Amino acid sequence: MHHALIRLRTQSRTVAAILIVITLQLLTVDVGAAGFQEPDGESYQTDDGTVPLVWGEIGVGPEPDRVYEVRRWSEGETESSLLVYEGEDTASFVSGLNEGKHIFRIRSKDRDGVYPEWGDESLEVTVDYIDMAIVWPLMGAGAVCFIVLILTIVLGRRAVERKEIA
Amino acid sequence: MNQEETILAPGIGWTLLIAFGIMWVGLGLYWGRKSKSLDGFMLAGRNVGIAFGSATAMATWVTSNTIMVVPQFGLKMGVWGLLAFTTASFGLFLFAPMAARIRNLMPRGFTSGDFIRLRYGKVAWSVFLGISLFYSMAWLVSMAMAGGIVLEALAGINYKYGMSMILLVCVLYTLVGGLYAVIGTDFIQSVIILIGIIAVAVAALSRMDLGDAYETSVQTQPALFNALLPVALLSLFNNMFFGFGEVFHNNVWWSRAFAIRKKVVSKAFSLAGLLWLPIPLAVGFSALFSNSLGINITDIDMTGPLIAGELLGSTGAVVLFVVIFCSLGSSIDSLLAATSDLLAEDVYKKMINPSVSDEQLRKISTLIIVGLGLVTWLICLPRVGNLMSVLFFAGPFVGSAVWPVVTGLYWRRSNEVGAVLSMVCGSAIGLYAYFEYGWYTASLIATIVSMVITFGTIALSKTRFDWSVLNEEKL
Repeated sequence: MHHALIRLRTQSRTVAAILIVITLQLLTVDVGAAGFQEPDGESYQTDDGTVPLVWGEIGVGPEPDRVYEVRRWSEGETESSLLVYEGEDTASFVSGLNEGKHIFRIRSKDRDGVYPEWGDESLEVTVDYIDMAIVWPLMGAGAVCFIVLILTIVLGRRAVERKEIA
Repeated sequence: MNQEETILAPGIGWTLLIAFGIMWVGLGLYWGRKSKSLDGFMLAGRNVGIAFGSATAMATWVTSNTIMVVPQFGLKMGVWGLLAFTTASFGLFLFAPMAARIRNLMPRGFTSGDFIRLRYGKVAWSVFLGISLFYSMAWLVSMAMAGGIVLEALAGINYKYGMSMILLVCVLYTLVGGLYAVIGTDFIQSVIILIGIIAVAVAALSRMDLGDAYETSVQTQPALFNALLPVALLSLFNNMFFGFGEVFHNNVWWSRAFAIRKKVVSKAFSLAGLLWLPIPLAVGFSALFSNSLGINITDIDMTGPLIAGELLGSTGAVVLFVVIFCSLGSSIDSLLAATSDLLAEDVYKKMINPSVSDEQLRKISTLIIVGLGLVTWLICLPRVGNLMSVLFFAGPFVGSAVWPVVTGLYWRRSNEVGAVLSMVCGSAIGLYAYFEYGWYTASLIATIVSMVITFGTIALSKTRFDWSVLNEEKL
């Protein structure tokens, strides 16, 4: 009985500790800060230089008239960033990215219409194009296939015409 | 994603939709008076002239994909992407001499399935039918989806209502008029499409400073102007072979080859290719400059409508709305008619009821048109995938059919084993490439595999095909 009571007390303490940690974590979450919802996670890999971005507010539902700013920092261009989008939309299809790493960051204006400092929220996009060692042979084979196709039709047509004349 | 408000008021969208819908169905009824026989209903009496012939081929090939997917190609793959799409016209150029050959070999032929069955036998025919029906459904679904998406983007008409309305109109006038109505409406639609696209391109150019736009785009989207962009380079050949596969195998084109007068059939397809060639460039070039124009593309499927709406305002949106409605109509009607022919002639008559009369077959054909419309509608309701993914999934299948068709028309040594193996292996390996490397390799690899197998079996073959077998009536 005594052991059971001790075990119960220990378990109660553990549960209480977990609850405190969860509550503290919830309190420290940056509710209302802008963040990327798609793609999932903190990194994304693409082989065609495109990335479909979807964003919103963390921890709250969609807020009307919220102004967002999305910027891109690309590998080798760490000094400056490029504006991807600024406005009230919550998505953007980004294309034409060069091979390498690109960091996307987002922030939204607060209720006073002022942008906060850039937070930690970011998405790392790695563009890894298909290897040219695969591209060139495939293109060569495609060119051969195309030429043979034309020859088959042109020569086939000529042969038919020759037979018709004969 | 709270994209900008729609460019047209829903009332204007509905008015245009209903007005054009009534016009197409009315014209369908008018032209349908001619289609009393089965030949009339299925093949417009086999007497279509060069003007209507080239217009129907061109209009059918200006699909919703041309209007909707070309800007996506521009946005995703830049200059090479646009050029890749123009290669689809090569399919029409190369089909021109093939169409003349088809008319010579099969003066009373009905479908592409007829050719494969007589040329290669029933096993190849079954594989071919499977490929053709799958592709036709993918094409139909991608077009009906595009219709719903564009009506929603331009006029705020609910996707389901817009898609349903477009399908309903096309089913109705195809049903009442057969291929006569399809070709007749295609002629008017092709004129509207050409005028509309030229107007949109000119208006876009007049509102853009190309020099500034280019400089901004090169800075923000440099890969779009990269001459060695791997995806775009591969898509150049991939799209070309996809186009070959689509045109060479599909009954949409074969039915036109049978319907157009023998003397002008080759010229009609060449002219159609020539008219079609610049269309993708005119439609898609502005997508290269979306960033510099300050247009935020929230959904890749809406690239074209968003850019046109932003550049041209409500007048441009009305023109675009009409052009897209015409391009959808001209392709969906053709596909409904040609696929119903394939199912009625190849499946019902050849497999189920060989003694069916022409009158009964026409009734079956109309039932199939309704059924196809219904199945397409059901598939489109949940709006699955994006347009490009729906369309290009069919790529390896049609790519694998290129060589059996071409060699079957010209080489007596081409044989059933080669045809079956090339279609099956080409599709399977192409499909593997689709998932392993990406859609931009699938048709290319499928066609290459199909070529190697076809030529391998031809080299080993002792078959010498008797061409007269293809003339079923003579037999």
